[in-house]
Amino acid sequence: MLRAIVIKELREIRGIALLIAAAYLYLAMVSANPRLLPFAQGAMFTPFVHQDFFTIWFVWISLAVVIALGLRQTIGESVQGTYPFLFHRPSTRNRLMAAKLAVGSSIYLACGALAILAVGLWAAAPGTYHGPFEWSMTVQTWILWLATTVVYLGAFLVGVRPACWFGTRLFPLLAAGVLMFGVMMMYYLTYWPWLAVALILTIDAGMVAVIVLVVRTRDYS
Amino acid sequence: MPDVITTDRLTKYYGSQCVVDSLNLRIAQGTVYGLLGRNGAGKSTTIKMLLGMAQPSYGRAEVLGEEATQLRPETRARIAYLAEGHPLYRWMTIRQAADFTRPFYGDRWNQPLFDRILDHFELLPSRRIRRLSRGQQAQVALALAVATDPELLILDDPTLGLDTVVRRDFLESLIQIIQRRGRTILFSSHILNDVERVADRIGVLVEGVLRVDCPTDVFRQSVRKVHLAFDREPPAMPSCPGVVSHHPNGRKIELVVVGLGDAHRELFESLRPCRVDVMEFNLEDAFIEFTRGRRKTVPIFAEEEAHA
Repeated sequence: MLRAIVIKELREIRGIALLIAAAYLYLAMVSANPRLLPFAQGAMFTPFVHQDFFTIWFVWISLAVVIALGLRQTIGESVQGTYPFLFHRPSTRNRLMAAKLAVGSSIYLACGALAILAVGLWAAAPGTYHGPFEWSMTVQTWILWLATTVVYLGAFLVGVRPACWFGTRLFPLLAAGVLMFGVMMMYYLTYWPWLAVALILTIDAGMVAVIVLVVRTRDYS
Repeated sequence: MPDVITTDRLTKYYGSQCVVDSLNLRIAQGTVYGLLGRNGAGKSTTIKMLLGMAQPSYGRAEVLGEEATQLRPETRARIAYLAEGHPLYRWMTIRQAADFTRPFYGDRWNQPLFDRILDHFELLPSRRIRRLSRGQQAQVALALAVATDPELLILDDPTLGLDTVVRRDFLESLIQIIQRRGRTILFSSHILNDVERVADRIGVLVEGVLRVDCPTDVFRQSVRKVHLAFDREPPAMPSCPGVVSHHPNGRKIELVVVGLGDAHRELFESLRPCRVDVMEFNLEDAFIEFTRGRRKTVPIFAEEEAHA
């Protein structure tokens, strides 16, 4: 049963998944070799240094893909009118939605993690990085990587929560953005990574609880 | 026979609008129940509340002995549901749709039956659903529903958007499926001929209120159209139980009456008409008259008739 849902989800988001993988791959390649970037001939990037090219673009790409993914997974069902079909399958709504969330988040978290690891491995290789490199320098990027889960859940909530587009529909996404910004500000002020991780996971848990509540109580018409 | 579906004052509001109003419904096992009503009468909302797809504002519903808002997966497996418009994943092939559905039902899934139904409808499993016509999509949805060997089949306007020939074929198939003993079917429709062919009991929803709940034949026989003709301006029509609608038309009053009896006849005589005509309806006319509500007469025609 779980396999059927996972396969269905994977098939539905495979286009976005390929796009995500391609975007991260290109970003990793450009970070290692700026000559691949048409407008930055002769530039030298130093990944994982505060607000470097890789981290900034990693955040923008991540935000774009998690919003696209969250909306595709939820609004896709609304547009096709398949929520009644899906939720009449003999399973709990929680399980069905958990499978959706698990597949969606796994895809972009895995792609993002591979991009960070690839650039990290490149930077760790002798003769490639313009300065001393420690893996601890990647902590900021890993926290950003995890913090995008908040935005993914916000986008997911936009799709499942019935509201007017010209009203409060985008409110969860806005709230998620503010929360992510707040967590990162807290991290930049304190440099306590585990506090940031704990905060992100707490916010994620809260957003998942709201998703569960909305999915369980909303009308599917 | 035990009741498969029971509702108790089931009510649904969307904002301030009451869509389903205090619905009390009982559907016994083995019944083929046609839920009739015009567009927006509350049929789909009722069905959605029965399946937990919409939350009631008040009241409750039980399906197969369980609270409708909390159906367990095991109970849901005993219910097949064809939603309005037959929503399926359009990117799937028919085979993929079956592969997706099968694991949820375990031993209940009847693959040979599914294959036979596809064969009956001349559908190839490799065909992509988005390439199928609406009628074929309805057939795939029906095949997926029936292959789960349901005890209760709920169909929300299953023939909506299908042309006459496809609708007839679809209903023929449905009748064959119904012939399995003990299976209960609830289906909504606004097409009377569909109901007449299939249902042995009907309910008529008018603006969210269940106005009729009886065997199909009883409904047909109990609704009458009465014309009261006057040689003067018609008097005001007093209200009376059973008079569903009345409207003046020139020097006549046209009434629709359910369960025409002595009380009605006495009322008509008290108005001193010069002629009383009582007419029978076929099911379609009965339904139309019953659900139409207030009818407007085009003024120019009313004047012409009055001068005639």
